[in-house]
Amino acid sequence: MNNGLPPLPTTVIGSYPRPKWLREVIRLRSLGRFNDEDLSEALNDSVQVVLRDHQVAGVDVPTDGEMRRDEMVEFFAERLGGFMFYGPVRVWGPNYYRKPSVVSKVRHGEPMLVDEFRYASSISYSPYLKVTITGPYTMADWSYNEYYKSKEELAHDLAKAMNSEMKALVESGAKIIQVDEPAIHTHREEVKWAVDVVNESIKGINVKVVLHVCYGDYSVIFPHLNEIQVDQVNLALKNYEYEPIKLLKRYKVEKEIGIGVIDVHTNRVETKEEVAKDLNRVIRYLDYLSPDKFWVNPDCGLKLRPRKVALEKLKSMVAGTSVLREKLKGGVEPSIGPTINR
Amino acid sequence: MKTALLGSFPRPRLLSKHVQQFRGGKFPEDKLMAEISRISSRLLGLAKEAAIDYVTGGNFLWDDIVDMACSQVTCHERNGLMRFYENNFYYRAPVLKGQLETRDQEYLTLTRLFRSQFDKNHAEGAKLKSSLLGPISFASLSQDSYYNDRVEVAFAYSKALNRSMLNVQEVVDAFEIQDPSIFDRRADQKLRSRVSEIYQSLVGGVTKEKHLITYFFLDSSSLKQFFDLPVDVFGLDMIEGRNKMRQIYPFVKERRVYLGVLDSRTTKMERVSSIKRMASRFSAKGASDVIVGFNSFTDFIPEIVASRKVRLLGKVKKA
Repeated sequence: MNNGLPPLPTTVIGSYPRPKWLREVIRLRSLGRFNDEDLSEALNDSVQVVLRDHQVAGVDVPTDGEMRRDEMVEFFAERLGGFMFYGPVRVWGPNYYRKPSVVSKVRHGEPMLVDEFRYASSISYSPYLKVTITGPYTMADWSYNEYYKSKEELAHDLAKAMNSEMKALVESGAKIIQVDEPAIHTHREEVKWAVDVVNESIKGINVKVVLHVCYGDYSVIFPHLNEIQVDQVNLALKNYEYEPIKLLKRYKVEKEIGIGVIDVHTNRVETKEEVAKDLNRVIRYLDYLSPDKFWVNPDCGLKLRPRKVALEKLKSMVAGTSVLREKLKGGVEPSIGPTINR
Repeated sequence: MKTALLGSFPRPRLLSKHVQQFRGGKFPEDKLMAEISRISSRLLGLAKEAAIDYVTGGNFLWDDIVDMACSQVTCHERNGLMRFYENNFYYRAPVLKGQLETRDQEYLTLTRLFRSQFDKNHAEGAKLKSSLLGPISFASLSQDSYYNDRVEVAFAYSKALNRSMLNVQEVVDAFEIQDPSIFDRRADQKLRSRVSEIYQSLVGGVTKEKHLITYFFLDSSSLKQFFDLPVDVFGLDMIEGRNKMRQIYPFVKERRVYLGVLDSRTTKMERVSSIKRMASRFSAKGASDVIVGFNSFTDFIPEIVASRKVRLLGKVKKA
């Protein structure tokens, strides 16, 4: 049955620039001049703005732009039991995040994402709204461990917690869940158990599950991608001028591939011709995969770009994809459901 | 047993913003220097309180050790963000498009600034240590489109850095050369095999104490080469090397060693007794001097935790 998705479905990775007025509301809330209700209203309004941008750009599978999340680890650490914060830590230049410390056993309490998913899906233009969740390995790697004997032990408990969250999302109607694991290829010696941990986190999640991996040494993780029980892997590729596709072919990665065609580290807006050419090159090179296995996305979240730039980049991504869609022969039907029984 | 700070200290958020504005020509230099002075003084006060023997200036003007290296030598261009080894910490890679030359005016100014503060306020017997990025790491972390050979980059960098060290040595008591790639097995093997010659060219004519600091890696098979390098103090990451002590012991006789015993990548506090025990073992194995401190610079932990760990060092010394 046709699910309504066109060939080469376009999507985003998750985060999107917060409107300036939302940042101001957050600041005023921190000063006590706005209350929680004001903040909640502003966050909901900003989700409407993000979805509108995604709709204007023509993105097939949108997200809520992660408007409620300051940072991808911080957000979950604030809501799971077992974490505390000592203060900000610099990541580069003037950019900081509050890196959490695990000080007791990690516990999943109240659902963390269900409310935001319910709100976003209630106003979404697409029935296929994607929810993003930080993966257990990245959560463990980007936290300080003061409690567990090993990072692996911590990551397994995080996998259980994230699994509970994903089950709650599925119960609420989520059809596509993306697990963000930007750290999974950081420590070569840990990759084998990192794969087990991700698989543990998605056990029993029988909707489409996507893994997002970006930046770093892909040769660490690509040999293991087929062992990860996800339906799709989306990747930062544009930033590397698509060099990593050689590795994808070498290891014959059989997952659906989300092709990163937009560099999120620059304000230069890719042209639609450039996107179409890049896509064509990747699809032709990865000729062992059928065309319905390809999705299209930016390399990573767009939150660090100015909003205008982010929107233009998405428009180019969709326009470039459309050029190629026309060239694809009929009968290409991308799947929206799970391809693996987890 | 002595104690030491190592390299940079967590930089307050507002200062980072001002440094960025200064780099973009939107913040006055005198105001920035005043702010750096104030924050350096705070670090100096903390070090004095803990009676730290070797003190660094906190390196607050620079984003990271690579950024600091680019204040000493010409880096031509800086590329996109690269991960600093395996950490969730990023630097802009130098892109070499020409000869590496010395350009240490900014570095010298900052070192003089800290010297003047240090002279006014330090614990008895304390020494001021200047941080540098070692040649093996610089060559490994750079993108070279001029020399086309990492060994050549390391030699050229050593030559340029040597000039900078000669210019700076009148202002400091010791140099701390951070060179983690020395033990990184993924680094260019040809480069690692020439480390001895490269270091000879780096330290020629430098009369002040030279502390070679390694971290994140400890390759036991390179220990012999490491302990033969022409430096005064040999620094090892003992968080990484806690299970390799028996391999290290044979090399420490009559050597001065720096033991990185405080983990700068975790908020968990170490125990005074464990640190004392490790230092005693190295002394018992014949090390002529044992200095303890962080295993690497402390940007990886919040300032409040880094400060607590400095105070812990003070307790180690008193215990």
